[in-house]
Amino acid sequence: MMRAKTQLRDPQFLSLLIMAFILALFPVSRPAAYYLDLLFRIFMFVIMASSFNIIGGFAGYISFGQVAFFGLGAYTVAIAIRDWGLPVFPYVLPLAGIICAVIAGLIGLVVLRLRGAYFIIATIGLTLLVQTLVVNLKEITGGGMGISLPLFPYPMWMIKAIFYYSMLVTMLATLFVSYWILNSRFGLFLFSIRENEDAAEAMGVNTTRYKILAWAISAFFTGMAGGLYAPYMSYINAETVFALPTTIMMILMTVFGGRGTLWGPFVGALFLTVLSDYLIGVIMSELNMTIYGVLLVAVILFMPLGIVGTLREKIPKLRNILK
Amino acid sequence: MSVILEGKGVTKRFGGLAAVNNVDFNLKKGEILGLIGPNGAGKTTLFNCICGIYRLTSGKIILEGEDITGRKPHQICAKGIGRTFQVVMPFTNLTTLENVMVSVFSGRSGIKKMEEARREAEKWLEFVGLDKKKNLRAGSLTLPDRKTLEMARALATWPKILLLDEVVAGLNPTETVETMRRIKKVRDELGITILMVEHVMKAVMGVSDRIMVLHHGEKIADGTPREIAENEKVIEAYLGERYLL
Amino acid sequence: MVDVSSVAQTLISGIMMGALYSLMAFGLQIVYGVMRIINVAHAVLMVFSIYLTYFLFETYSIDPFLSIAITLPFMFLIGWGIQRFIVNRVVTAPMVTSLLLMFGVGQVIESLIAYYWTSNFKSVTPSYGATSILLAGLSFPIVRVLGFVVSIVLLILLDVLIVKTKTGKAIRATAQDREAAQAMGIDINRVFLISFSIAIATVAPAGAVTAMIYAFYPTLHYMFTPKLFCICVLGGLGSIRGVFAGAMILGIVEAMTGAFLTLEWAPVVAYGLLITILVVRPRGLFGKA
Repeated sequence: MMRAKTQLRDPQFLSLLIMAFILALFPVSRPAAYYLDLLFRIFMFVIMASSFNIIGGFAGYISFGQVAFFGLGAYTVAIAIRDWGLPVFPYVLPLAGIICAVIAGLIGLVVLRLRGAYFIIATIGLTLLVQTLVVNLKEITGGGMGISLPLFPYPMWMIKAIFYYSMLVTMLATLFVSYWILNSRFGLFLFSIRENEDAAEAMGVNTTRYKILAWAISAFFTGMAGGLYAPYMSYINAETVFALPTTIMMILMTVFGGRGTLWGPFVGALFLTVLSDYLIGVIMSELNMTIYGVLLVAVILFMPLGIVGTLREKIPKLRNILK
Repeated sequence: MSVILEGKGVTKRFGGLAAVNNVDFNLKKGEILGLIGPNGAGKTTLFNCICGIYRLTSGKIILEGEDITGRKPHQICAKGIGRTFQVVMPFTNLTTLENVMVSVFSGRSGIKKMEEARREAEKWLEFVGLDKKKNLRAGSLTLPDRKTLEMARALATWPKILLLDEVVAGLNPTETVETMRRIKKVRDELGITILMVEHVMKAVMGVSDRIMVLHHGEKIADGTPREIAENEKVIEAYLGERYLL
Repeated sequence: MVDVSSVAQTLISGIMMGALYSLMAFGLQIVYGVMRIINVAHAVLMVFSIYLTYFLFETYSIDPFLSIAITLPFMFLIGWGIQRFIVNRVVTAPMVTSLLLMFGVGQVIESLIAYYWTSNFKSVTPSYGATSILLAGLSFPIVRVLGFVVSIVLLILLDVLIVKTKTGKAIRATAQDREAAQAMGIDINRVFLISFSIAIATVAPAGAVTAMIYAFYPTLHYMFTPKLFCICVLGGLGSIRGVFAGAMILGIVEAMTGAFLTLEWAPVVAYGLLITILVVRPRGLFGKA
């Protein structure tokens, strides 16, 4: 592990701290509610992209089913609030994350035994499977009708601020954990799995254990993002929280920003969320997904390392800051 | 010398074909044992069986008296068997240093801290002569350097036994001599037992204490280099004519 | 009620569904077998051909089965274009790259479909759409019977193509060992081009039949993709005949589950089957390692 002193000197850590500081103070300037909204959504996507990055970028196991955990987290929190009232929310949120992590671990025991392409295929149906399960358990989940939640008894602006901070804290947690992984023994193992799993095994890396851990961590944060989304929207149903475009967005953001880097998912999420708002607000929104598809194709063909990745290649000096 | 690794009746079948068929072998502590044979003789298959990458169809592998048959590769590495691969398998996008650091953490060194691992990895790179290239991306290394990195990586797991799979394939004579010297150094200075698969006769005959010959998955001979060079069966199967030592 | 006739009926449904699935899956298998690329956009392209069938039916009143004569060459060209300009760049890349790429391509096609035709449910209803033949107390919907015939025809055509023709031999050689094929003088780029084009062409009959059976919408492909993967893995990645076998198995298992257990859990069947196969016998029934 790193000692505190070296950490403070690390430009990456510093930049994370500075960003955290700025974002924490932002609401103090009483900005318009729209910006709190926008940032809430950006934070949410950063969490999802960064989580995906842990299993897809660090370990190289591209899971097409991450949104399943988002939905599971959303439903867990929604059911808890519906059955036990609003006050349980702060306790249920980390619990939702843990439940998602445990489920990922259990599924992972089977699915993570599959390599590369087989794993990807297995995760493609995962979301559909989870969605079907959730919808079919009508008594618990309200089936296709979804779950409606009461509003928090505070003024609107304050509610938005509370959610802003909750999502901010969760995002910072995700980023700091990613940072820690990147600089740790665990991260090195994940990279070795990504680069050459057989060699890693032969060198003594317990690949199964670390893959499952990575997926569980990834599911934990994704689940929490979903868990915050549910009360924020006050209504969820299977279609919205298990929405397939969400998976596409998560993958696109990470690949666009730079798979396997710390800032990549952040940059990708930021850029694409703003772009998405722009497209919906200014241009017709129907071609939204077309543009995302084209972007994904273009990035894969011409800039496979993503923005951050390509910058690291071209400007070696930035290597340390942009890891 | 005591026996450190034993194989009894090792058999590996793929479908109906026995790639390795009822092979008995023993490896004495501190020796360099060469494993030769024509292509397809089962040499790499035998390696993969020892390391746990393949499950044995039947037979046993015994390390220092302990039966390790059926264990997973990372467990076998933890027991003290390290290896290099015939087709080099570097962690391409990691630096040379990071490649070795993985082994330092995952092997038997017991090191857990990044700084310590970094220093240990640097020492290994110095040992093999790659320290000047420690910050280069492994994918950008030349083939000889990659082979050297393979060895450094395997060594960093602090193995008791090192399995080397055709380490000089693709190297020119100078590089080959260099590699052989390094192998001897590993045995002499570090006390590591070595089992090496090779095709380049001069290399393996020159450095091995004993040689084992496989043909069609079966062991056909076992003895000193001189004995092997004069063995009729071996000559017929593999060497072609009396190999002059 | 479990009695002989309902079991028989379910079996028939399953078989006919299986035939349809096999039509959809042939192309996916070809691309993987020859190019080692998992075309996640395959089902999207099938949906596209559904809409093409719809377009021809609504605008020119062309019978869906007959329209295959038009949509097949059209899809062949589309496949040609996609391979030549996009897929070709990633044949040597790691699988992850081509996967993400095809994912993007699929996304573009899907959203263009939605843009042009809207997301509303549509269907293609020829005059015989609801007609069934009654035989021995069992009902055989004409559309599905014809679909079954089409799938057999396609299976035979593909088999003949791959086994008997010179092109087919080149394709098989490339599928077995790319480098060796090249060494023998085979132009593997041409092989890739032709294989991919053929694979995409096969979605034309699949789309035509599906259009008459399902109410369709732009994101329909998500329903089929897991099933198609299941079939390809079950049959053995790379085996055309395996596709037919795998498709039959899936069709029958699904029908049985839906009829005698519960309809709602049917999507789960394909997925459960897929995971089981991947874990227990990744080679599938007829696959090579």
